[in-house]
Amino acid sequence: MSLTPAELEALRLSLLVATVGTAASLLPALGIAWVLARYRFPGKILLDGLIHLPLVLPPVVIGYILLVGLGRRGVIGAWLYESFGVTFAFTWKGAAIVAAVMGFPLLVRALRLSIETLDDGLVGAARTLGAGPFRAFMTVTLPLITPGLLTGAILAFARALGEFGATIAFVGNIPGQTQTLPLALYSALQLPGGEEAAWRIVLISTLFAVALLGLSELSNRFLTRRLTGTRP
Amino acid sequence: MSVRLAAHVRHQAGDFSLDIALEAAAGITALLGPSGAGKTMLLNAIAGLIRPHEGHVHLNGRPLFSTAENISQPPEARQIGYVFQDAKLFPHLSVLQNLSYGRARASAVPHALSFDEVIDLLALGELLERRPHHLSGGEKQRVGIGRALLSAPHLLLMDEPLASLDPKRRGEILPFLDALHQKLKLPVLYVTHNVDESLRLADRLVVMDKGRAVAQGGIEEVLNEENVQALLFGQAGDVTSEPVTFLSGRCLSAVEDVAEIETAWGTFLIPARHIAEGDIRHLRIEAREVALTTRKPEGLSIQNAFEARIKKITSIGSGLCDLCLVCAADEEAPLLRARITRRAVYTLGLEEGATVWPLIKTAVLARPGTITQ
Repeated sequence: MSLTPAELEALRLSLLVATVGTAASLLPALGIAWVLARYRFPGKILLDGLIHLPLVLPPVVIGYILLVGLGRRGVIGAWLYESFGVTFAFTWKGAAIVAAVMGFPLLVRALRLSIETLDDGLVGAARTLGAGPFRAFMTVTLPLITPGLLTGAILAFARALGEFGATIAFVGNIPGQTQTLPLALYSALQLPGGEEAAWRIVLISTLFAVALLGLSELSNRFLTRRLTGTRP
Repeated sequence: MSVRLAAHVRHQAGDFSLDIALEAAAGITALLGPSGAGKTMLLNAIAGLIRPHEGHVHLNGRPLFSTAENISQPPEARQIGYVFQDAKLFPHLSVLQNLSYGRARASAVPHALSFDEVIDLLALGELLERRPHHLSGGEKQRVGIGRALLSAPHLLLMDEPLASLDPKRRGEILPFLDALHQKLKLPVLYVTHNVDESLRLADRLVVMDKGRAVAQGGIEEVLNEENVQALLFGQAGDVTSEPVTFLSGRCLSAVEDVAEIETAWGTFLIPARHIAEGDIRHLRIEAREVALTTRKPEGLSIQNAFEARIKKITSIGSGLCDLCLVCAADEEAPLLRARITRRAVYTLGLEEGATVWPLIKTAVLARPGTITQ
C-alpha cells in the first residue's frame, strides 16, 4: 500500500500546519498560562473561559468566527490585507491559525499546571546566587516547566492533525493549499469507490495519533523521573 | 563589635507587621523566636526577595536598600548567600552544577573560599555527580550551604537549616556548622526556633516575637531576661512555665572529658568532649534541676555548688515554689532560678534574704540537647 501524490501532499500539509500552528502558539500560551497561574485580577474567570471556548464550542463555530474576523472581508482580515497584503482565508497559513486556536487551550492547561506546581523559591534561590531575572528564567523556570510544555505541545499538535470542522469552515478544502488529512478523508468518502483511499488515510492518521500519544507518555516519564526521581 | 550588617526593616503583610532593627558583626547572630515571629520575612527582606515598605539595609557600609535614598538593589546584586529551610536545590541539576550555579559571581571575589575548601569543609566530594532527589535531607542541606558559600557572599543567611531534619541528621550537620563557624570571617544570620541550637552556634542573639525584637545582645544577657524567658519558657510564676538559667563561661581546662567552665557564678565542672582551653560554652540550667541546701555541702557527688542569697520566693501552685537566687560572690551575676516543692521551702525554713547553696548535678549539664557535648 502506498500513498498517492495527493495523499502525500495532504500529509505534508497536515504536518506543516500542525507544526507552524503549535510553534506559533507556544509563546502566547506561556504568557497566558503564567498570568492565569500567578495573578488574581478581575475578569480572570472570563479570560479562562475565553481560552477554553475552542474546547467546548462546535469547531465549525470557531471556523466561522475566524472567517468573520480574519477573512478577506473580515474585521481584522480586511485591515491586514489592505495594510500588509496578508491574507489567511483559503491558505495554509489560515489552516495554521486554526491549528493554533484549537490547540491553544490544551497548551495553556498543561503549562498552567506546571507553572502552578513550580516552586517559586527556586527562582528566589537562583536570584540570591547572582542570576538576573532572565538567567533565572532560562536556567531554572524553563527547564522545570519543560514537561508541561512538551505535554501541551504534543497534545496541541495532535489536535491540529485531527482538526476538521473549523478548518473547512475558515479555509475550505483546497487540495495542495488547505486539504489536510481529515479533509482528504472527507473528500475520499464523497467519491464513489473512495473507500480504499479512505482506509489509507485512516491508517496513517491512526499511526500518527498513536505515535504522538506514545511520545507524550515517554517524554513525560523521562522528564518526571529526571526532575523528581519518582515515576509518574 | 565591628558592625558589618545594619538593617532596619518595616513591612506589612496582611495583619502581620514587621518592624525590626538589627546589627550583626562577623560571627553567627541567631534570630530566635517562635514560628510566625517574622524571622523568614526579615531574611527575605535583607536578601531582596521581598521589598519592605520602609527601612534600610547596609552591608559593609554599602547601601543595598534604602527607602530614604530610593535604593533597592535586586537580590542578584546584593552578594548575600541564602541557605533555605528546605535547601531549594535545583532538581534538574546535579550537585556539582548546583554548587557551581553561583560561582560566576565568585570569581570576582579574591577572599572567597575555594571550591576545594568548601568541598572539604562540607564533605561533598562523594556527592558531586548525584541529583538532589538522590540525597538525604542532611546531604541536601550541606549542598545548600556549599552552594551559598561558593557564591562568595558578604553575608550568609541561614533559615532554619536543621528544622526539616530528624535529630540524628541534625547531629550530623552540627559539626559542619561548627567548622564553618571557625573558618568563616563572615557575618551569619541564623534563624532558628531552637534554643539549644542557638546556644551551640551563636555568638549573639536576637529574640523575635510578632515581628519585633524582644531583646538582642550576648547570649547570657539576652536569655536570662524576664520577657525572653516568658516568651521561650512560659510566663514567670505559672506552673506550666519551665524557667531556665543560662550561664556563659570560658573553659579553663579540659582533662579526661571533664571541663572547668568559669562563669559569673563560679567554676562549673561539666563532662564535655571536643572542648579546648579558652572555648566559650553556655550552660543551660533548668530550674527544676537545681537542688538547695542550707549548709555548705560536703561529701556529695554533686560538684557544682555555690553560695547564694534568696531574692524572691513565688508560690506557683501545685505545691511548687520558684526561687530567684543572687550569687553571693558576684551580685551582678545572672539570677539563678530554682524550682522546689513548697514543702521543702517550709521544712528548710527558706525565706527571702536567707543564704542557701544551690546544687547543680554535673550530669544534668551534659544531657543530650545541651551544647556541652
